[in-house]
Amino acid sequence: MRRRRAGRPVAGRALGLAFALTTIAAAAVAAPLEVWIERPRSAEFVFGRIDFVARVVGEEPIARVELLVDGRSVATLVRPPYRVEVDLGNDNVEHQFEVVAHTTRGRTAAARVVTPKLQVDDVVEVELQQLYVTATAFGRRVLDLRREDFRIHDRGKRQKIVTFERGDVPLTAVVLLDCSLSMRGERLAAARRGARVFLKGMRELDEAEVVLFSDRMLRSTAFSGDAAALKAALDGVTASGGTAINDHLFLALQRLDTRQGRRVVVLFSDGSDVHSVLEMEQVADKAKGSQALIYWIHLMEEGESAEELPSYRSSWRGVADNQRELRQLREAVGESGGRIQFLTSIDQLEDAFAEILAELREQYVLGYYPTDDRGDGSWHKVRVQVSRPEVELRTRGGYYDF
Amino acid sequence: MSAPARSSRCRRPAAAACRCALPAALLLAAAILGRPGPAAALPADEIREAYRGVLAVLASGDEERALDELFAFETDALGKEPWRRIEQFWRLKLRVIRDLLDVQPIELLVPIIVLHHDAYLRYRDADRPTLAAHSRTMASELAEIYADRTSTSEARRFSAWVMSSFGAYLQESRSISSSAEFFLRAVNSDPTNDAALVALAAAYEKSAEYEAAILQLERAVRVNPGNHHARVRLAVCLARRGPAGHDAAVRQLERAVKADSSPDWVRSIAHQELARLRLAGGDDKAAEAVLRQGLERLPGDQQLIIQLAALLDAGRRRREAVRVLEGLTADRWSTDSPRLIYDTLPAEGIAETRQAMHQLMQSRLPSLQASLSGAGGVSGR
Repeated sequence: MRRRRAGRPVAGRALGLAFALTTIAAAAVAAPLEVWIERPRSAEFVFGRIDFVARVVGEEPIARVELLVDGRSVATLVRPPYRVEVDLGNDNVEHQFEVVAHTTRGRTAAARVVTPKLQVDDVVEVELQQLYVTATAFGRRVLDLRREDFRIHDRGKRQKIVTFERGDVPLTAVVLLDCSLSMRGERLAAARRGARVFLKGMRELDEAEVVLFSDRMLRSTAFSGDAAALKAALDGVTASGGTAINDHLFLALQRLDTRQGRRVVVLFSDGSDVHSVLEMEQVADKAKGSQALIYWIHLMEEGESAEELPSYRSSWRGVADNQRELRQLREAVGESGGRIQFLTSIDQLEDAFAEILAELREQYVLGYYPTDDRGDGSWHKVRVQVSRPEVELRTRGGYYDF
Repeated sequence: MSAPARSSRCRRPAAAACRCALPAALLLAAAILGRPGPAAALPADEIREAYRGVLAVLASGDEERALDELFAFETDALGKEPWRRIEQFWRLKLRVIRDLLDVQPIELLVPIIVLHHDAYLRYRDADRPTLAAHSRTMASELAEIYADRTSTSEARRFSAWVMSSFGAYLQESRSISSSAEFFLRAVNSDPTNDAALVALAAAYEKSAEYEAAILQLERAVRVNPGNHHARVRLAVCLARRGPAGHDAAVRQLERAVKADSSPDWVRSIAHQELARLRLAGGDDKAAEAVLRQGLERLPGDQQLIIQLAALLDAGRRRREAVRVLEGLTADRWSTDSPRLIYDTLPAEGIAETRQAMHQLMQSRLPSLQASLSGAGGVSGR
């Protein structure tokens, strides 16, 4: 996560806050009417395109809800979700977010959130690096590690861990479902069930976007915390066409770039890329520069094994090139700190999605300020170690220093 | 055109005639087929008579009924294990055709070829592989005989249509080597058929025989400089040569991106590949210009959008990349992607080919009709 040092680490600040809320009840009347702003949170540093999300709870019917940024109306909505995407630009300025709800009986309630200007150190700009670390021993996750159990080396230099979290850190996910022709019938139905399990497990501050693809994008939602709406988007698409994993993985990573906090791609596919316009090398490079974890649920064909690369060709690539593409995808997944879950049966799909969510819930989040922060675009190789020898760690392999 | 005078037996639908005349023979054949050992001989006279009946229906202009009757007659006659007696069946039918050719010129083969071409599809869809292969062999071999004997450009063109059509069907079924064989036969019949040349090259390309593909594509572009599908495929194959093929590939693509009359998928690939080559040559600005130009011509093209966004993102122009990706919506682009179409055999040209085959068949029906009325009934073997 790219952060500039303000008073204290932004991540720690953001994670320590509950809902940003300044509720102003319009009048002390019998029927309650409450309004609050879910996103952004107060004290959160915001820039670029963000979701502005409000909640309204009341007994009277809502006539309209106005959303304002810096005193300017950006949306008037008559039914939930009260959400709008706004472009704040990249200027380092304070922003005011206001929401005003009007009931059909003329009552109003409002809420306001102020996000601060970042106090940039005049001399030094420091990037907080966050690492999402999965710890396992003998096939089970290890949940009792402490900050002092970890050692982080960035370009070979030991780093001081300044933030340490575990467990319920909010996440933003893109769920990528392959709906190519080979997925027709029960396979697609099982994939939908699996994705529903993942979406159902989302918690209050989590968000996800659903993308259904084949050789082209078939459906895509916006980022949302509304699991029911996301689950509804899974229906109504029939399996057809070819497979373009590279293109849609790039799309997912690109979309996650606009989000903050912990970011995850959950890719489900039963095949390999055939029809993308992007080479995996380009996407792997994008993945290296991204902070997103990539999980790939790979439903294997009969006779396929996790160890051997399949031999297939198309008009676009011969066998060797396809195998290189697949190898690069596998490496990109590993480099991101995610993993590949190989499945031999569609019966394993729901468990696979649930297991990824469980793993995300039980990751350690370590933050540090790199001592060798040049901003020159160079690659920082990162190594995380733990004091308990039986414990294995999985996290991203590094980051670009921009 | 008046119907020729025929005996009442000959005018009967062939399948019905077959069912009346053959029950005892077929029962016997079925009994024998159930056991191992040599296949029983087919009742030659009845087979020939029934086949003539089907051809008579065809000659009357009712190809659908002729196909129905051919299907019923052949499946009845050959039973559950048609491969056991297919060679004998093939000889009996050829005998009928030879008798007809004694009376009328070779043009009467055209409707017979088209009938068996269309029967192939019926058998394929009915999951009758032996009879499908039999129909395909019969149509393709008769087509080659027709082209060889007449040596007219029309006959060569017709033969190439038949082969191309079979090649396309086989490619649909992912029988790449068989489809290549048929496209090769099409090209041998008519070396000026650029659609067949492209299809043959596409089959080579799928088999990673890129140099063989280049040879065919260069011929296709020479034959028809307006075939930009051929030009784009040629560029893709040339680019596989690396730096040695770079400039030639760029030249082909520069022409292809300007061709407004090409199908959208061809134009999209032309822009995609030209941008890719510009990028490989280190000219990011030119690559971006090609992609933006492509999106002006093909708004909503998902692959062009993704490629442009990736280019901008790699150049650390992330906000622009995000803006470009905002144009990516599922509803604006409901067709298969250009790269999928490229990877399958594009349907363009094949439908027209099949239509042309049927038009030629209509013009040759009088020959068949005249021959059927002129030729005697069942001849001896």
